Amino acid sequence: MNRLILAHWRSTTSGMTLVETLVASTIVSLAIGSMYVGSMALQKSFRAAQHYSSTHAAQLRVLDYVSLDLRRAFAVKQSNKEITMLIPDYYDRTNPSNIKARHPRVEKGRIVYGNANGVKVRYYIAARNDHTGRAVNDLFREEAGVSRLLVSGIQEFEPGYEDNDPRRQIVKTSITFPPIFRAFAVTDAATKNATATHAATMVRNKREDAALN
Amino acid sequence: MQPIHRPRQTQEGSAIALALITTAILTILGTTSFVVIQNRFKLAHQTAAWQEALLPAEAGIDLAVHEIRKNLYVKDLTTVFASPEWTRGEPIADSDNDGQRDAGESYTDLNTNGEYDSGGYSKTVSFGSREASMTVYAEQLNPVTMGKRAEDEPYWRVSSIGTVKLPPAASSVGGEGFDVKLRKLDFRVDHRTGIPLPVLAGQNRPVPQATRRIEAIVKPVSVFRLALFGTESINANNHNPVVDSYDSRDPNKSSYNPSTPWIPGTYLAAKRQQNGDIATNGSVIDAGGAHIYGDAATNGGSVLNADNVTGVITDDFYQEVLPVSTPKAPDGSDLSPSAGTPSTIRGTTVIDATANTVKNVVVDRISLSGGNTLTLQGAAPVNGVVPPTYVQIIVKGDVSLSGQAKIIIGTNVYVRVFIEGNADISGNGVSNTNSPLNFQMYGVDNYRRNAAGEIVKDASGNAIIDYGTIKIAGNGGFAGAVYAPHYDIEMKGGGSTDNVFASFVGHRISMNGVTSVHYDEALADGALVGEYKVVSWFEDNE
Repeated sequence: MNRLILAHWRSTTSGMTLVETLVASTIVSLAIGSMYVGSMALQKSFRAAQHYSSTHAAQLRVLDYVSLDLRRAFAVKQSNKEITMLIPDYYDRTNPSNIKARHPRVEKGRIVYGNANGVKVRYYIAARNDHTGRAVNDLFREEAGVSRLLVSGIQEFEPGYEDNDPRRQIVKTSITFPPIFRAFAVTDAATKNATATHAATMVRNKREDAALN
Repeated sequence: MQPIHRPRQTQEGSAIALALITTAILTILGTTSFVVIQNRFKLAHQTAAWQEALLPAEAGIDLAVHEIRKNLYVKDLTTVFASPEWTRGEPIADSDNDGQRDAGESYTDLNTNGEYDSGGYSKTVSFGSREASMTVYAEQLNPVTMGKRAEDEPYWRVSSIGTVKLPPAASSVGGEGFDVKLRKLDFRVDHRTGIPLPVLAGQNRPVPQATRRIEAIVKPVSVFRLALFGTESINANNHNPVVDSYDSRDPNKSSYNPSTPWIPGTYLAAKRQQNGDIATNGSVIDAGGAHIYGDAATNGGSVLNADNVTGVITDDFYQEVLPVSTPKAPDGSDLSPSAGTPSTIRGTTVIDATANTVKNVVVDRISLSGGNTLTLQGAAPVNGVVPPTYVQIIVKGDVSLSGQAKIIIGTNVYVRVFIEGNADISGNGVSNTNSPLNFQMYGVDNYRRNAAGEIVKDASGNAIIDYGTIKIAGNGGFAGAVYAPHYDIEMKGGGSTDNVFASFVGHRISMNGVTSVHYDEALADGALVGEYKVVSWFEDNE
């Protein structure tokens, strides 16, 4: 009886030939290899898309900040990768929990709030090394000497700045965060052009740029 | 005994486990992608809503300025903001609909001064079933608290909040903390007022919103905001004149001394300013090589011989021209002259200006020759300071000064002259040691009228104007301002020291031999209001 059972078991678990095993192994290897390569590509693509999306959102955020300040500025100046401006000293922060608007007054023909010299706002970058040792930049907005981080770990911040409007009221800015993943071997310039975000902002107040000197 | 089928069972179990693991991995991947995408989508939508909120906020400013400009045409303030959509005071939650704010009723502190204000006018406009709205509040500012004189025209402060609703499902903020600090979206409570957001019918939670608040200061601008404004043309093609500016209120821009604020500063070439702007509603300015220290603007035309124009040359200028009519009594009748004033001025005359109220003088003409003078006398000094006094002269006919004749304006006397005829101010001109603002001359509109007093129109339906003339001799001296859109203004001279301290508005303006026109920038802040201009713009993102 035992022999019968063993015979039956052997008959149902007959092995594969060497050729079959080799073919199967090859197919499985190819399949796993393809899956690995595919998953790596997918992951890379996902990370690239996520990076592009997040940096694009960061670009918009920075431009929104810059445009907001430019619209209310009365003096604007640009230097190397920095934008500096003066905005009215509008807020009475005597009581931080109850910030009020100041009353306007006329001084030398100009509307001023609080300190006639206004409040200095500056956008600038500061270099550092990230945890991998790679050089990256942080982008800050400084208001009245207090800096606040806007974007962290960016590769480049390039404030394009056109100030050739004859009435000097239109200021154009552009910001580029080059992507970490590139599908093709394109040049840096082409990549920057393709990923730059632009804004043209009208400075609503009459400019008194001399106040920044 | 049944055979053992273990190998087959092992294969089946492995397949199920593999399928479950694969499904789990795919689910995790899908969920992660979905969360990431949803967050990005939420951020994009919220960013767009925040951007869109700027549009109604700015539209609110435009709406209020449009309403304020009604002042230019209707001098009765009760008609300004008379539209039923405008209500007095800041917007309130008027629960009992009695039209006023009662204790306990909340309000929107649009000017963010921490208290309810009832003096201004407010209005709310909604679009698309309240998906977007603007709420605007406009209030006059006390000139004294603005650092101006009590008698100055008041500025306006306009506060506007633009609101765009977010989808109710957007119950949390997308993006990072930096986005939150910038956009300050409201999900349950209006962060500006602390008032809970309303829950709309059929929904179980408030509709989140994005808001933007703008504050603009609107300034009344005098009709004398330019050095030269010709509605038709400007011709400076003679003797290379100079047009520049100074500010009689600023020690850096004139001889003004802050320790004697009642004495206006005078022009100093060393403190010359670059606001001697010239402009025309027509198409031609012939600068003629004149040294224009300021801008030159035409309406679709060109500036000829503009080598010495220091400012910007533009061709998109247009300024509305206000009608000029003889002042009337409040009931619309002709103005009666004040007691004791002359009915004609043909020889040496002295008129005492009065404080607080304007002395009205109505004469058929002013005709001075030889050594005759017209003296407009001010008040005696009080503690060393001469108080302001006022006189208004209505001339039904011509004004003529010749020989050595001149008009003398006393210290701190404000004079307004309305001329219905022509004017030739030669002789020794107008002696005005005050600011040019103290002597304002208005040329009354010269529409051609028929026997019934109706304005005659040409075949195209345009009113026919018989342009008058105003001639001013620079060598006689002139410090004042002229507003006469229905007059051709000729500044004539011949000397090398001609200086006119003035602003001119006329039909055609020509400078024939006058060396210099110095525009006092203080003129833009006084006299007849000709425009309202946004001079300060601030977006409040607290």
